[in-house]
Amino acid sequence: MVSAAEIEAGLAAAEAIVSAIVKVAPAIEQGVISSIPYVQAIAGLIGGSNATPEEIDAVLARIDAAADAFLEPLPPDDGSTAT
Amino acid sequence: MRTFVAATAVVSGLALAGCQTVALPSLNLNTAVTLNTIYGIENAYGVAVNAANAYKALPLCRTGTVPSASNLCARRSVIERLQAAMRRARTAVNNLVGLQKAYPSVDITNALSAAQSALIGVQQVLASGAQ
Repeated sequence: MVSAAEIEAGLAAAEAIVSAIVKVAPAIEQGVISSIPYVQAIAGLIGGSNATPEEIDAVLARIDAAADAFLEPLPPDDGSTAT
Repeated sequence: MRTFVAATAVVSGLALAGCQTVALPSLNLNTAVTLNTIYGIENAYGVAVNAANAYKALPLCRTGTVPSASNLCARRSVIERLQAAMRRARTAVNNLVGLQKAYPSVDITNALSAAQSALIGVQQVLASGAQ
């Protein structure tokens, strides 16, 4: 038999999880949406389409720009994020 | 889940790039296969970069905490390792594309292997960040 306290504890845990997901949802959503064209391109190749040199250049330029953004250094650690 | 989808897409791209044996409707089959191989690698690189950026966009984990379902955060050490791996992948993929452009008929096997290895390295760091 589950007690009221256990249910309340479960709800509190669920609330914390949902709250954490909602907080970072835009980042997750952006990551998923941004990956769609690449996944579609891979699917296209599997489906038999052929790549052109122009496509390769354009896609590489776009990905390199995103990679450069990722390679930007993190803010220095003041000791609070040493993980 | 996000990491799993990204990892699956990266693996699909890498697998695709590694086995271009289907007969293609092109006059120059070698060139078409090479371009498709490179394009597959490139798109796997794109998925990896997006997954890395999504991870970096998470708040940094506070000292003494670990990521969990109720504490979605990115570990500084994972991002730094990911950046090192991504730097190698960026160089390797650009070398591959540059080589094919400069010498369209040259054998790209070594450059291809280097790009695949570098992307697998990124994927492994990403997977470690999910734990």
